[in-house]
Amino acid sequence: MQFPQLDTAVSVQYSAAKERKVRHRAHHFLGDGRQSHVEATSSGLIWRLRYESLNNAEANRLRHFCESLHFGQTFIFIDPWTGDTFANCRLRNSAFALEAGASRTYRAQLEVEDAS
Amino acid sequence: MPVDPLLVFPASDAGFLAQFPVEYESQRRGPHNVFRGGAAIFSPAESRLKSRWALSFGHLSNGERDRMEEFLALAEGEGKSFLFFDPLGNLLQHSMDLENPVWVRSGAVDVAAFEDPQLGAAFVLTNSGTGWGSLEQTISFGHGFLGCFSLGLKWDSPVQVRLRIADADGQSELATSAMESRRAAIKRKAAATVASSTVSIQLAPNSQIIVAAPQLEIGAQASAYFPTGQRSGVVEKAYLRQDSYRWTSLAPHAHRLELIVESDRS
Repeated sequence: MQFPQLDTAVSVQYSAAKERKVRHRAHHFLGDGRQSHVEATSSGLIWRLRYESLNNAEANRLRHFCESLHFGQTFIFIDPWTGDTFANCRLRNSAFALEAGASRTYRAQLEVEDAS
Repeated sequence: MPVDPLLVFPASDAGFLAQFPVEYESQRRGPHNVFRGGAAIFSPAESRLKSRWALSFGHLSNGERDRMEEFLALAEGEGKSFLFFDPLGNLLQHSMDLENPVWVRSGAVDVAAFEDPQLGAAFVLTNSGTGWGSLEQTISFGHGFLGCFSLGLKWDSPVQVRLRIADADGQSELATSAMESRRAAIKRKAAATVASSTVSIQLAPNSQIIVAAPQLEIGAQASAYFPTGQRSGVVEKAYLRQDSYRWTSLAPHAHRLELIVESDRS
């Protein structure tokens, strides 16, 4: 599956943010010796996507995509910062949020994580 | 299939369920294990979709307030489940699969999947009989709500088609002549005593038409299409997520209330 696009043919808006979580694991030895290595089986990349002023069709497209994913199902996401394709992404916490405003414009929020 | 609920979330005088803004959240939950380092395994077969609607009513009339208070008393806080309709959703099941058995055929109507360049995932309806034929779905909708049934239609030459919403109290019907590609819609406000409604697409004898994206929603006019499968906007077991609530009355017929409704479905 491919992450959906908005009517403007892009997948995200400027309010998006990208994070990379890196965890080091330290090994302490007698005599004050220590070594550390990066502990990760995934890249730790997370894209926090926030959408403003979506129209009804765009909001429905995002919601339908998020809710039709099986639990833990991966999909293809293109990093809007680099254009790189990540073929093994997941909806973080399997969660999606939507607000339908009084003027029938929509705000949405979700997070994508690289599971590779 | 229609259910016979003991309790139904109340409709406003105009037949709406919610006032905007509406906040909606969903989260799929199930057995999973996340390992140190980020790798994870999931059990999709046992997962469930939890939905949460935050409803904010700003201008309820005295009558609407009375109906809501009666409903809240019967719901007993988080105690009892009730029938609820997703105010942002499509109330029809299997809107992407008109060959599914929830769509009942009558007469000599045949349904075949078709990919249309304008309508997308569509279906060709063929009525080879000498009388009108129909494709219809019956759902637990009524209860004083205003429903809008909409459908994408297309054919090269004019074809006689009817869109209908029918219930025990009567029916509303739109007779149209499909040509080229367009979306037709019809609305009907059900009586409070109505427990189920049937939406149908009716086709003239010996004719064909391409249809797509059927939707029944609460509202006076059609909004953007939301595709559905087995899970639709009809929530048979919803719960309030609060044991207490506060009414704020700014003036007569201007009562405010905020409610949280949740459901947990496969």
